[in-house]
Amino acid sequence: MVTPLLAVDRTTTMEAVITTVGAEPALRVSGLTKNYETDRDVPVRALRGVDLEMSAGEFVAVTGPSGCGKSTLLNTVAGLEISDEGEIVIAGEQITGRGERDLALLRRRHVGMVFQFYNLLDELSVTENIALPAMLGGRKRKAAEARARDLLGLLGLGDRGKAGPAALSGGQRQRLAIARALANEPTLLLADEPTGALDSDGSAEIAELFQRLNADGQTIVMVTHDAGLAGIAGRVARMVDGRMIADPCDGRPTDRLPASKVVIT
Amino acid sequence: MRDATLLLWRARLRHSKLRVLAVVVLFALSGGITLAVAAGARRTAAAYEEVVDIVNGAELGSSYVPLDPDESRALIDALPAVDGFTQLVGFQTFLPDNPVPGLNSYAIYDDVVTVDRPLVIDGRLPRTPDETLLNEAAAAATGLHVGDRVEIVVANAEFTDLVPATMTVVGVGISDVYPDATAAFPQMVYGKSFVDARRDSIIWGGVGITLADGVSREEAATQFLDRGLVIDNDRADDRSKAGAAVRPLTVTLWVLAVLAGVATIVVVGQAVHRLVKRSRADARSLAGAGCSRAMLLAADVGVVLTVGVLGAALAIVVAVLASPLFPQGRARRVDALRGFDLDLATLGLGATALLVALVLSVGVTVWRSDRREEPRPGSAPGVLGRDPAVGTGVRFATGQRGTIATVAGVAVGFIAVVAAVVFTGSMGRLVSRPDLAGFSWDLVGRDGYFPVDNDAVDAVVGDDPNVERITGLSFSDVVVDGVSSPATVWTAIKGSPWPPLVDGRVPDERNEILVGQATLDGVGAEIGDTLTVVFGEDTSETRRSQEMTVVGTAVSPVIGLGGTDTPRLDTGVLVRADDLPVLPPSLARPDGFAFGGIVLFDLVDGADPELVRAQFPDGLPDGIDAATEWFESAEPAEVTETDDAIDVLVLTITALLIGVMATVAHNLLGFVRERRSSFAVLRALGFTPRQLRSTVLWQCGVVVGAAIIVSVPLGIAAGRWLYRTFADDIGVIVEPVVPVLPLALAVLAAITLVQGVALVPAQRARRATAAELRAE
Repeated sequence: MVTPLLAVDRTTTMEAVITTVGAEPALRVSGLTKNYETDRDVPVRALRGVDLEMSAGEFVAVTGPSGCGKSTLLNTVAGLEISDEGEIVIAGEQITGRGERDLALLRRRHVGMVFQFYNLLDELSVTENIALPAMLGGRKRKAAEARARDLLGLLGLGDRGKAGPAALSGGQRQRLAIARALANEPTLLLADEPTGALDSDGSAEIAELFQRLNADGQTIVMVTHDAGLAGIAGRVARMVDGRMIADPCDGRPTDRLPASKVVIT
Repeated sequence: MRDATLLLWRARLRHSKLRVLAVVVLFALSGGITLAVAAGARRTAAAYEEVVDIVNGAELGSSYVPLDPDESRALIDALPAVDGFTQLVGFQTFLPDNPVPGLNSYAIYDDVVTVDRPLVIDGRLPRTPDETLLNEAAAAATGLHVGDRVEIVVANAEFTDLVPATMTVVGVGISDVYPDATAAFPQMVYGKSFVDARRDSIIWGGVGITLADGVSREEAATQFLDRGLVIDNDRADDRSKAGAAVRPLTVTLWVLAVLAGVATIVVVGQAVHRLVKRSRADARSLAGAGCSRAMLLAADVGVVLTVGVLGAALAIVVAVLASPLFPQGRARRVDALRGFDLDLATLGLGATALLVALVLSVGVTVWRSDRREEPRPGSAPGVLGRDPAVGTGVRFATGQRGTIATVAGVAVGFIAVVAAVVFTGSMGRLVSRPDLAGFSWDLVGRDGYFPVDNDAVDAVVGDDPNVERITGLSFSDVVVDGVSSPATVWTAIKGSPWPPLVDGRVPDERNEILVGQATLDGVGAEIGDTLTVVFGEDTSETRRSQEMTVVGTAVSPVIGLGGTDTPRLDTGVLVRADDLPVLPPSLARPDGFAFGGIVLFDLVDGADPELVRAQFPDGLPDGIDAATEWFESAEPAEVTETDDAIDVLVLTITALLIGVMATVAHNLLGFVRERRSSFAVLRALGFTPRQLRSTVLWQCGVVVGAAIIVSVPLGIAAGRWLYRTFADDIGVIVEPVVPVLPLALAVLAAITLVQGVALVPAQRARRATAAELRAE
């Protein structure tokens, strides 16, 4: 029997999670536009009117060539980049137009991020890397550390709590990063090339982990250029030159659809 | 391969040009202070030497040459031992409208002075019979300036012929280089033409000579004696005293220079290290492109040398710009010795030493610069438990292996500043506490070589409620366990007569003495030992030997008599007047084993010394109405010279503090910059802008706080040790002080400056971009 990863907090059940967010889309992105100023006169248009809508419990993979705007989309959804136009709503809360402090608070509640190069804090122990966001989410220290230990146990890192991240293998570090992202039971798990720095065994390990998380009801947006990895998702969206092109039914990327806004539901 | 190495070097400079420029400027500032103070120390010593060479250029002197100047000139000129000489002709001069006790007046009987002469600091030497030059003491006592006219009376030896004259003051000069407060004898100096117009008024003749090559002092003395002349003054003693007077100041400057140099190397070294530090990814990329470790090392050394050479060159410029601050001390009063100075030897050697030290200090880290030091998880449990921003900031500071080096670098800089503050504060205390230099009275009356009637003094002021103590003081020459030593003879007129004790107790029984520590060390004795003290060694008939017990050590006040060695500070023997040997009437010595008449008055707090002085309108009672000199200070030359330079010392310390803090701030910026990806992660995790700023401030605060905790006690200990060494060397009572307020202000300034600077990376951390999250 596969142990549910999201049922670690006894006060939260998968049904409760789905029930809570079922009335609202977990994520709605409308007309998102983001430009970068450069030395030249013409700005780089990273996002050109992207739309994306996801229900709770969906797993969407966003693919596309390098520089098509995948990571920019993820960072903008997380509030780490500010869009020029458009709207982002997560679990009914408006992201766009918020100040830096509000965005930080929203991130604590709704967003867990996983990066290609892990971005762990080497000065903190394995346990503390997870406890820190848990404390930011409002838990007291002991509760945060307990949460961290639970997640570590479930992710197979229970005996590495006092070690530093530098002592872990690549796959272990990414599992730690995922555990950190789950510390506050986020609405969205955003993963940016989560297997980009791993070997095939490590990649398979992470892929399997994402599948288990999604099976437990976690809403996941995963950016990847790996077609095989994208295949584990329920939906595959393709971006080209800052625009979204997707097949909402069978997941196959298509070029037959107009290169304008396409909504995935 | 050479081209590739040059490419790497140029690329590194180009990529970090603003940071390179910043480090060059910081090196120039701190290094410039180091070089300026070192060159200033050398310049002060050299300027003093120059003053001594002019004012005291003779090697030997005689005060007993024939009164006829032409006769004495012919005699001296004929001596083979003499290479050059300055002939002095003495007069008795009074200022009827402005009496100056102890005024000494003489003429230089040379048109061209070759050996020694007053060093003019304003105006010129006199040329005509109605012109005169005053030394500084005479100018201060009379209030006269260049251009003023003054009425004088010139008396012959018998005081039967009193000739008035009107003189014009044409110059003010330095006529001696041993400026103890009580040894600054006022002098009026005349030219050769003054002598020609007043030959009947000459009262003494003197000469200062330089020896011909290969002639010893003994040979010269023999030649003098053969012609009925006596050499009574070895100027080497005066030169030695002058050197001792300025040595504490030059040593202080050298110490400051070394402190500044060490702080510069350590703190700037860290900044340079950050310039050449390379990430692991960069190192791998370069290795993958075929770059060898030797190439990388050569490129890095090139960067270090670029910064070092540019910084050292600019440091020389800074030092030259600061050179008008020197020399310090008395030599500064000479116009010709001030202004810009280019001491190529000191600046060149100093800049080279700084450069070499910088390269060496960075050398090891340059060799390791291609390895990223793995941070270690913090070992402080529960630090994250309160505000996560505080805990994270503390953990960032403590978890990085380079933190220890950063803290050490900051600490060294602080230690230098704290040590300098403590030393200067202790110096200030020495200046404000004359009792530490042996002077625990408020007023001194000196009748020169004439003994004072102590009972008469007691009769006048003994019952004055303003007067707490009255001490009679005279001098003697003794031989202690075979070693000649000057001695002071103390008479208790009212209250305890003794100066401040260093150790032991005051004499209260017969044949007990106090001794200066240096004198005690010189005879190899300790408190409690009994010494053989011989009085009247000069004549066999009146020579008397006594066994006397050392009961304590004391610091003697610096109150001398012109022309004789007297105890000062930690030298000399202190004897009770009652313990002087008693001779039978047939052998009575005119001086009774003691000479000179000085009375010391200790007044109640707040009493005006003028109240005592006014009770002696004709001077102290001595039976012959000799003029009495009055002093309210007995500051030793060593203290005066260093006190004069306090402003420059404080300025140097302030500049050092600013230089160190600027470099520390720069290093902290780098320290935080290295964590920029972590700040991006914290932002992604949900740290608010305030929390990001707080993390940076705590990260910097831990480093600075740790450095302060380490450096303040070490700096205080270093400052106290330096002052103790200085005070021991000059012989004052050692009482280092920790100036709490200036120290607190310095620490507060450091913390405020650093935290202020930390706001810059704190603001940047708030804007940590998502781009940081994509880098490894």
